[in-house]
Amino acid sequence: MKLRGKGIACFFYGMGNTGKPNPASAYVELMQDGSANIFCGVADIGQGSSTVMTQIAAQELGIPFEMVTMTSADTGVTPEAGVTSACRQTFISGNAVRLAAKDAKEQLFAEAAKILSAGTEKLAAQNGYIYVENYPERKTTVGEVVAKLYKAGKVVIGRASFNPPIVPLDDETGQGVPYGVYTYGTMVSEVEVDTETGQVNVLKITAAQDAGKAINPLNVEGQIEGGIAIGLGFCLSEEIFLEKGLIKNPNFNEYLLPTALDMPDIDPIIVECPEPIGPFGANGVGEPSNVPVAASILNAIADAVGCRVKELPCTAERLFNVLQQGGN
Amino acid sequence: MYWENYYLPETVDEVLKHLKDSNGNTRIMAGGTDLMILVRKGMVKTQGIIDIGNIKELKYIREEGKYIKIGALTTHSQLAESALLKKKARVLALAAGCVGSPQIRNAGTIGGNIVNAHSAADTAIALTALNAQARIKGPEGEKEKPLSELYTGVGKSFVDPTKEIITEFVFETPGENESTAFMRHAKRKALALPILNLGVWLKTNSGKNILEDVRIAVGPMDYKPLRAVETENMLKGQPLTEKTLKSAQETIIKEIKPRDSFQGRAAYKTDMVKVFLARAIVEAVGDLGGRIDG
Amino acid sequence: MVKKTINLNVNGKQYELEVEPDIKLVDLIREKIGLTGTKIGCNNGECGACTILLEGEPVASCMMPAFKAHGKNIITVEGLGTAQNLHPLQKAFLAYGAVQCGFCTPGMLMSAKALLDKNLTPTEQDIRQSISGNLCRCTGYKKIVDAILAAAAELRGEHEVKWPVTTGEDVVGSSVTRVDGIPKVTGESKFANDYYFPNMAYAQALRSAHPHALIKNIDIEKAQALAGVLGVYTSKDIPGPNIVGIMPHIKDTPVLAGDKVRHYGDAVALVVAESAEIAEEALRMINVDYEPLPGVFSVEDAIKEDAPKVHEGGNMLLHRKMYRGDIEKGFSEAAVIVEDNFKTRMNEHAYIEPEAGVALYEGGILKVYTITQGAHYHRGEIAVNLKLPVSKVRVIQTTTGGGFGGKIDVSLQVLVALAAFKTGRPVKMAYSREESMITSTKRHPYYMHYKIGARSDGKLTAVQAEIYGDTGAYSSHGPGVLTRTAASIVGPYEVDNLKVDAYCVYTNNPVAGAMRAFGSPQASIAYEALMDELAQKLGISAVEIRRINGYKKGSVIPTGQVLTDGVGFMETFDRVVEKSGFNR
Repeated sequence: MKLRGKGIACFFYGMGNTGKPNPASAYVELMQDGSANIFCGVADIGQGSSTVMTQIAAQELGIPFEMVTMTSADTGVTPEAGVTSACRQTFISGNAVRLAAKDAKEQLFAEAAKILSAGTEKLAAQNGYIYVENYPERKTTVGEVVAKLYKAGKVVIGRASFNPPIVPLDDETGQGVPYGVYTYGTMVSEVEVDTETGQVNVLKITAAQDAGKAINPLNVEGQIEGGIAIGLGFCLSEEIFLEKGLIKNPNFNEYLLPTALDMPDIDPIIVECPEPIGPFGANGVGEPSNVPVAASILNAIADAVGCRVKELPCTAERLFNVLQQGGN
Repeated sequence: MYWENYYLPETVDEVLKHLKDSNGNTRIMAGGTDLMILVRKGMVKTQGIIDIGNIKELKYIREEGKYIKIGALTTHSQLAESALLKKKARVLALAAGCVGSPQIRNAGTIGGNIVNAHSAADTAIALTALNAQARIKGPEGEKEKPLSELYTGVGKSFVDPTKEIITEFVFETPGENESTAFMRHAKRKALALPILNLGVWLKTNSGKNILEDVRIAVGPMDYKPLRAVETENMLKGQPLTEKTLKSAQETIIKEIKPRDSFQGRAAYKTDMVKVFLARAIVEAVGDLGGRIDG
Repeated sequence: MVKKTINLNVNGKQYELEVEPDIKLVDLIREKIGLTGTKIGCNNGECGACTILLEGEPVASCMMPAFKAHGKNIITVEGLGTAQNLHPLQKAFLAYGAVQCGFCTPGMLMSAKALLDKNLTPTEQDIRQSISGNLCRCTGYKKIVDAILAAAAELRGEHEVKWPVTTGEDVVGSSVTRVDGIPKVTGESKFANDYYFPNMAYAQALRSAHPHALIKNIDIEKAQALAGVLGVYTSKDIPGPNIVGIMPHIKDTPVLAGDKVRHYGDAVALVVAESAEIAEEALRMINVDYEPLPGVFSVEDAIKEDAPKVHEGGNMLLHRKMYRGDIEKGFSEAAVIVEDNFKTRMNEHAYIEPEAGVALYEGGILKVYTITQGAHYHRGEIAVNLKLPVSKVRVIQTTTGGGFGGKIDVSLQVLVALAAFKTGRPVKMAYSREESMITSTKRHPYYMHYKIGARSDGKLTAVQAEIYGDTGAYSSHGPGVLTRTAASIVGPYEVDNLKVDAYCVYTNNPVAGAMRAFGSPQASIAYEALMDELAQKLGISAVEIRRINGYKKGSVIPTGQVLTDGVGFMETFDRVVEKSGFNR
């Protein structure tokens, strides 16, 4: 018999190392043609941090995305940004990059204020132009200002360091402020269970995550979907077999991560509840879509068949055995 | 270093000559998908390779008289996509379509899969259900052997790839009131060894309510694709009813020899054989337009 | 070995090469022809990263002798399109976000091309079937499927893939194409194993033969004498303290095990040789005299009083307490209490790119090109262990094929640096899939006991939990993982009274460390199951109990922190419940 069920699970997730300082830093260099180099130690491992940093710098400087080049994770060139982990890079390195860009922009505005005969607080930058707010015709370009400063013997370099506000956890009670900011999410999984075999087919996953502000919505969706794949493997098929400490399946033939055929339809939903201390309101989003996957699938299975596996992975065999025992 | 010599003959005769000349130091490679793993792990050692991949005369699927003939170098992809097989011997097309991944199916061949002698090779299960014969050419000429006699031990084939070559598989084309089915249960939908695979060929009466004849092959339940002979005998002449299926399920679990593996425990495999035997019979009978009575 | 002539056409160009008769196709393409877009992920035909088209059919080039391509036509990712003239599939992969780390991308593109060459109107299922032999660990495949559908539409002449993507007024909030996208779809991106330098040598490590043993002696004489071996090194050859660890206060992992091995992944010796094959042969000639010790392989055994000690300080690495409110009062106020045990297994990160790195010691600077999730962290470990000023070590992250936490810890970085430092040669070290899996960190297996109480209206009153995490032979991020679990012990549900005891325990199992979401997925299966059970017993819905307890502005988390702004939980909840039609 094939039975269907739906299950729900939720998460909240803190950005950064738990209750410990974990700063990041960045430099921004502006060139006379109005382009910018940013230097930051953040390691992009595929999640897209270099793209996010480039977007943040371009937005803050008010220059086109194409005019910004990111150099990342080269200790001979880039300043420290900590490890790519714990969803910390968009929030922590993103803030460092934004603040470094802001530092450079302030140097520009100080000079531009003279050129445009306006107070720096009245200036704005967009698309490579610096202009007086409400008077868009009173403008100059970023490049011109950089060139002018250079002729006066000044190179425009911005720099910044950012550390999330935390309070170390008390050893005896665990009380404190573990993280500066949090992301939240909810997931519903829909499954079909073959009760004769215990085989679970995940049909659909609907997943929402609070990105604060999605710096790059397509990449945020990519993080949600990728996390779901890892969570699905964790739930249904992935298992290191150990025999007295020796891994018996150190290969992709017997350690089974999901293939394209194993993945369900996914409906990713981005929620934007601005984070006051995030760069442009952003949170980190990389890891936690993986948190509620197994839980929501297991709840869906329980909804379908009325009993539950409490040991992962929930292979067909484990579920079959629970079903045979008439549930629990 | 894996091997020192590499030959790429164009004809079967050339292969036989190389084999004769090399005196057991050189072995045949078909698609190479299994052999490469064995060589890399040091489980197979050879001085030379005779790559038979360029022998065009061994690549075909055709119907001749009352037989279907398949050249040993036919790839799994070609089997899976064959209109002839899909229509007349679906068990083999479906089985070939379950092997590994598209990449493996494009390189791996049916002959190589059989000589590799893995008891749960999907095509071996299908060929066993089809009661296929293998044609083998060697120094003493040509011989035919039923597929079930090609296995001499765990991973050991009757066919010695340093001496002889399988050229063809032949089986009777399923005819009127005859049908096949293939079932596979695995932990993942691609690139996974089977927990269990099972092939069925059966023949009903014209009323489609009595099972006149049946062959059941199942793996990995023994060192070779297991023919569930007792179950077949029990089923012959029986009406197609739930009761008959139940008896078949109880019979088959007495003749299989499952073992614990990463794919699953023996007890689970036993339970699953029951499920998939019934499903295979229901599907094959359903294909003929028949059904199982309650 | 007598070389043999091979003729083949690669991407429209004819090659005639003299090569060893046993060379594999992937090595021919990468090393003899120099097209490194084709990747090696498993060397066993199980991941698809090495997929190329042979006479138009996708095959695994890691499983194929090169001579199978003799006289034939091959297409690799470099033959698909160039940065100036991208193929519709490449444009679509960029436009639809189908590229993340980029390591599976070349093989994925080849499988997709083979499909579209035959079928320009594929269904989603056809596409999934055609890429089922290409593992991707980053994307969940959805965007890859979307991209292939879009490319098919362009190739049918229906509508062009919209690329490049332009930004709106604001760059932030625009789905601009990733900055490293183009080289990832053309095969130009250089991953660590794609670096070749003149005069490059190769390093390989000898791994422990035991899960727990004393090392009495290491005899390297024979290995050293083997022709082509440049050096064999043991713990004695490390200038610095021979210790690394991501938690600054718990550095417990030797670079090369000296007196003791604690799991099978420990490296005991390092060989540097003219080729990877010679290095491998030399490894077999090293004789290690071990005195096996009894091992502990489960948390249950490790915490027994008389358990063998993995480290001198005992097997209990951390007891994280998270106590708040009055747990007894909390349970006394509960109308229903539910309680259960849950268990999870060890998981592999399974990034498709195995660990690799190349080190060069030039002009007094030790340069290391390597996979990493933290170049500065790795720089520090190299400098300390080689006794070099930190500024004299330069770690350059190469394009990295996924990490998910598994490339945070030091893997081969100090070893390959040591090899270059000692020999003065550029040295490459690249793990096989097997070595990667045996040595890299894992997701912690958890043993969890939970007890949760709620009032009759569904409000949670108390949570008590004991969590045990098996961190294996070394700490890695273990304490951080268990602490994070404790700090989010019931997810986004508020409870005033809680008592959590989370234990991080050493065993002789593989090392567990950071893996995407640090201990949270494990805990989630427990608290979400019990939330459903509470709802059932109270006769309220799964939705209702979560609404009642879900975090809102002003909620207090287990550490006592009050959530102020930016609490988007209920919004995510409402959106998902509505869109999925969830009504349980």
